[in-house]
Amino acid sequence: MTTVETWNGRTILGYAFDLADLALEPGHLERVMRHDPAEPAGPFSELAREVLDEAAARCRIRGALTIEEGPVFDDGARTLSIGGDTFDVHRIVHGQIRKAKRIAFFVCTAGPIGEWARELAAAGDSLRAYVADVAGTEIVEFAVDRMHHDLGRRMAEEGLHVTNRFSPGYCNWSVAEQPMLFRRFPEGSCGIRLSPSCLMRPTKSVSGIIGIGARVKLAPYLCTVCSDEMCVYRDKRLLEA
Amino acid sequence: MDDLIARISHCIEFGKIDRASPYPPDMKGEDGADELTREALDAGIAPDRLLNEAFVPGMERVGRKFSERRIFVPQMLMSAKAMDAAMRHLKPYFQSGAVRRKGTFVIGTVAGDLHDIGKNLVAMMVEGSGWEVVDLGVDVAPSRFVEAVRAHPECRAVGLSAMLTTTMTGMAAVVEALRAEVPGCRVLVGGAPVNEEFRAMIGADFTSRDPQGAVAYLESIAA
Repeated sequence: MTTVETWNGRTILGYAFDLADLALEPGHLERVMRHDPAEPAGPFSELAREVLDEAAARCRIRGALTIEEGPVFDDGARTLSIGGDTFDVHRIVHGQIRKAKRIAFFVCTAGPIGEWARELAAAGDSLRAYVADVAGTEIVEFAVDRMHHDLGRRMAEEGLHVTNRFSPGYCNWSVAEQPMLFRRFPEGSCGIRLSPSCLMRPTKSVSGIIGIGARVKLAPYLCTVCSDEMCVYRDKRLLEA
Repeated sequence: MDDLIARISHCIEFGKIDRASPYPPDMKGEDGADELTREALDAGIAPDRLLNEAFVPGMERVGRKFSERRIFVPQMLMSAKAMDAAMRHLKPYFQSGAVRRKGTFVIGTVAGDLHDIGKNLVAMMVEGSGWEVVDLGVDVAPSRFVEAVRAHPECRAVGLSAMLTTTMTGMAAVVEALRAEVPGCRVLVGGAPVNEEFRAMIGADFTSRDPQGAVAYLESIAA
């Protein structure tokens, strides 16, 4: 479900999903956990299914997206200036979005799934907690995939393309710049709040930007240009349309 | 006796918790780490022998396979659960002093950071290698690390975890506080953005990309 509202003179697209909308299968969770679903069924298949069933009742999947015109890129400093703010996006992000003529800002959350995972861990069920944690990550990523795809479809109607999405905290872009991104949205948008150290709560939330323009494109893989070997997105396709 | 020890070690390595546990599938219906440890103690096998010849080698193999990417987090967690089930039988011996651990290891995720999976894996592996682990959880202020070390006189090392580039800088404050307040305590740092260069810059003693590295380092200071 998509809604359109105006806030502070800007248009904000709102998204709400049920878990069923996302078509997230237990087998996908198993693959993320590096368990081959073709192997004999251990506790993982059953656990993934149970956790997704319970997550369906616990998650509250919400997203918001807004588009701004006229980004200015500094090719020396590798920054993005827009709407009176300058984002120090660093080399990788700058290189991917520098030809954009518009920037989409987005936030999205799976709701309190990470908090549920922490409750499970505190109760001593570390395996179920891990599966719930992975489920929370995948739920919010699947939801942002839908938002990203929807944005791509809308822009294609104008003959424009979209880039990959990029988030503070990755590709050397500091999470300390989260407040600049979040002031594009009403306070507490989608139920997400920033901690004093700029972390999002609920924890299974994602924020970021997407470049838009006639001369930008989706890059299937960016991991070869990033040195963070432990990144959770490493070797995964950034967007599966 | 040796056969029983080998079977317990095997259960820990492959995550066979107890008879009711269906995992791993090829051990379905067999006794697990829980029953076999009870049986071993009833048969008169010394608890320190179980710790050193069954639990520790089992978890060592788990750590090695994880480092080599032959198993992943879920399998490691199953092994940790099997070790927990076995370790519960040894708790009375730890409390009475009949079995001594190698020391106490305090661990936590630094202030402002809520990530705990990596920290939990290290905690499990260190416990499985014969250390008492005091887990302070996530978002831990520097003063709490210092307080925990002071509250545990046998603490020989502290582990600091961070997942984000912004929160890893908070490790420096913890190292500084520990150096000032408990100077003999070793400090291990780890997490996705942490590397050797950063470790050296903040004056920590050790960093590793995987839990087994932390276990090996602690082994070297326990000797």
